[in-house]
Amino acid sequence: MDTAEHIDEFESLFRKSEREHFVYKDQRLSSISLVTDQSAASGEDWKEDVKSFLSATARELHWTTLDQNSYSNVQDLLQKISNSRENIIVTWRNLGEEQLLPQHSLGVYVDVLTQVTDCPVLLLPGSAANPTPLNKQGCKNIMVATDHLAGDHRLVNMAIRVADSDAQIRLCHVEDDRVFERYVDAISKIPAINTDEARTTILEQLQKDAREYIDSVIEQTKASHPQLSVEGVVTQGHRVQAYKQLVELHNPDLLILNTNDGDQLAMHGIAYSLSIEIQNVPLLLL
Amino acid sequence: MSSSIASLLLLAETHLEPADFPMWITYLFTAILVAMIGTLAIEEKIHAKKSIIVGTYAGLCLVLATILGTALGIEILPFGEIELPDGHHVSIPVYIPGVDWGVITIILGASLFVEVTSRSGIFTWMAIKLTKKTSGDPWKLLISYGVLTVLFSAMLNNVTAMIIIGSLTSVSLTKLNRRDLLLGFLLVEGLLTNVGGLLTLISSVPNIIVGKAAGIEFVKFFLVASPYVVVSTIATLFMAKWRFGIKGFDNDIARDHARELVNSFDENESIPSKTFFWTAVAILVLFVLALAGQTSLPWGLDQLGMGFVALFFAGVMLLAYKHEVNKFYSAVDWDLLAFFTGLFAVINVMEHTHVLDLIGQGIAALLTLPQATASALLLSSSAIASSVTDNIPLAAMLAKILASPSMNTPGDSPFWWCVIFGSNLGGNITPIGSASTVVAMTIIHRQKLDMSFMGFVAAAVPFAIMQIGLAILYVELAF
Repeated sequence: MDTAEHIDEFESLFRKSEREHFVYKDQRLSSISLVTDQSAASGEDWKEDVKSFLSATARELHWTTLDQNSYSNVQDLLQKISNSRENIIVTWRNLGEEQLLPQHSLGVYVDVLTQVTDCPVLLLPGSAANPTPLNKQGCKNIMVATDHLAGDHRLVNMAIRVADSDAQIRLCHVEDDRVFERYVDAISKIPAINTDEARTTILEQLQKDAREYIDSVIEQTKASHPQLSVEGVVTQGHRVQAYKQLVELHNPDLLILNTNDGDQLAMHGIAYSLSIEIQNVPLLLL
Repeated sequence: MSSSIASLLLLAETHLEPADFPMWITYLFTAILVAMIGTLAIEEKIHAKKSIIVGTYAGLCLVLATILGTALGIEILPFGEIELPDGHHVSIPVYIPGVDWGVITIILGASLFVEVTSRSGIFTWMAIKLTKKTSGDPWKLLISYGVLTVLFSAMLNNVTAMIIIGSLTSVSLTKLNRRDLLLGFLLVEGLLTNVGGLLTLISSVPNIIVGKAAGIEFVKFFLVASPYVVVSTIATLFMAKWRFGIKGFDNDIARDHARELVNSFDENESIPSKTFFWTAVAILVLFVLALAGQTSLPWGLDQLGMGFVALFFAGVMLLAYKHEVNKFYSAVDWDLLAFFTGLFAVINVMEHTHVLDLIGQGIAALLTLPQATASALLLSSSAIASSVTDNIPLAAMLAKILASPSMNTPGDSPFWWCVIFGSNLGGNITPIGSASTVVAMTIIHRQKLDMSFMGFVAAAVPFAIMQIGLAILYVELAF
């Protein structure tokens, strides 16, 4: 073993010793804006439904409704939202695109809102043209889905913030087996690396990071929110299918996803796919 | 070393005296020796390992000495049988008796022992535990890493110490978002490995070679070296604090944030088994005690030597991995061991061609000066020579010269310590001066930090001057 290999060995050992602990931070929410392409009266009806749904936070929020007469295009809506400095935007897929059928996208309004503004977007079930009624019993069963759970404090903190006091939060981490297999295939062509050993150790390490993070979330929430129940699911598979199966299995009231992928302008790939595939569950896009 | 000297003295009776020996042969081999040292100085540039360089010169020396001896009808190399202590005669190759197998076994045993012991996680555990104790405060981190570098250099070897502490420094300062301090930390750690390498008889190869030649025992070595190591470490740390502007926290927010970050390290992560961990701790303590008391071992066990102690404890640790010992054998620095074997063969030829006598005459002239001046000159010239080439050939040659019958340097002479201090501390002047500064530069470049050869010299020379100055003062005061 030469010096560079030795240095790398010890750097790996020390990096392996690093734990990504969950850091609880109270997500301050003060205002919420419901954006609809319907009339003001229809917006008011939906406002009451959303208040029931977000019962843990709704009472303390300042509500505004932007109906079909409040904006004329995306730029106009963005301007209004940035002026009012909202904390959460509530809206539907394919806003203002009633005439565009079939609808296999989120629509230009949601695309821009999730990427240009910093505030979370609560996407209500169905689409603007065909909205699905909301569960008015509140957020008792929340699922947080990500392909990089460790260190994603914002997702977990938001889940805690919107959850009912006795809710169950399920943290889900799925390693994409297609991406993983592509790397293993490359490794299998490198004689210096033992393929079986690499497959096992890399997968173990990837899942270990997520598991340890979930453990630290459980430990923290036991102290700060003892009535909340937190559990984790760490698995491997085709990500969209795996998350769809998890949603079908656990039937969450709310699914929380990360949409910002570094400095990319487009929405994070997995979040976009899930937002289109899973239309019957409210999605909170961060 | 003493056995090889004895056998050489035995054979010296059949040799020509230096006065009758053709001087041009001595000059020719002196030129070869200079060329070898010069080649070692540029080993990084020519991308050749030490063992290959020295092995090539060893082969050249042996072939040339044999051909010249045959052609001129003189016996340059002592071919023939050698006599064992029990009176038996054995025939072994001419280049074998010149190798100091005591040194080779110490290095082999100690490196195997360290390799297996480090698998217990003990060293990484210590390093992470100490990191957490500092709460991420930069000044406390520098002190902790500095002290740990010195201790690891003393307990392990300076290369392993630099690898462990340098790796942790890179990871922890990155975690703390203080990469601006990384260059200063790595540089100081590199410099402290050579200070820590002075602490015990087995901490560095020059210590082993010179200590063995002078007959300095483990405990005596530690007692003489430790006051200097303590003072020099403290001085180096304060100088680094000033030079690199390393300060402690001055507000609670920064302190709390850093504490939170370093607390995310888990010191138990690298411990594969608690049982193995505590076994390794116990055996490490026993190993140090056995080395310290080696000359007082009962039932004649002291005669087995320090190399046997190192090999014995390495064997005990290997029992924990008895099915996968190959992994540890492959981790041994065979280049270093082959380098030593070749080096001893070269020095043996140099002795028979009277090159060492020639150098010895120069050193003898130096040593006739008043002791204080002679010590200062010997120490500083050893340091300068060690800064541009490997310190091991220098230490091996000077040890052989000081131990030669013509010099007959007593074991309590300060000159031995001048060679020890000079050859170790000289490694701090340039990045190629010692193996651990080479490692420090490797980590610096891996971390994409900007540090050239001359940049290192400019940053390190003030530290080296201070450390060498302290060493000269210490030798003057202590002897």
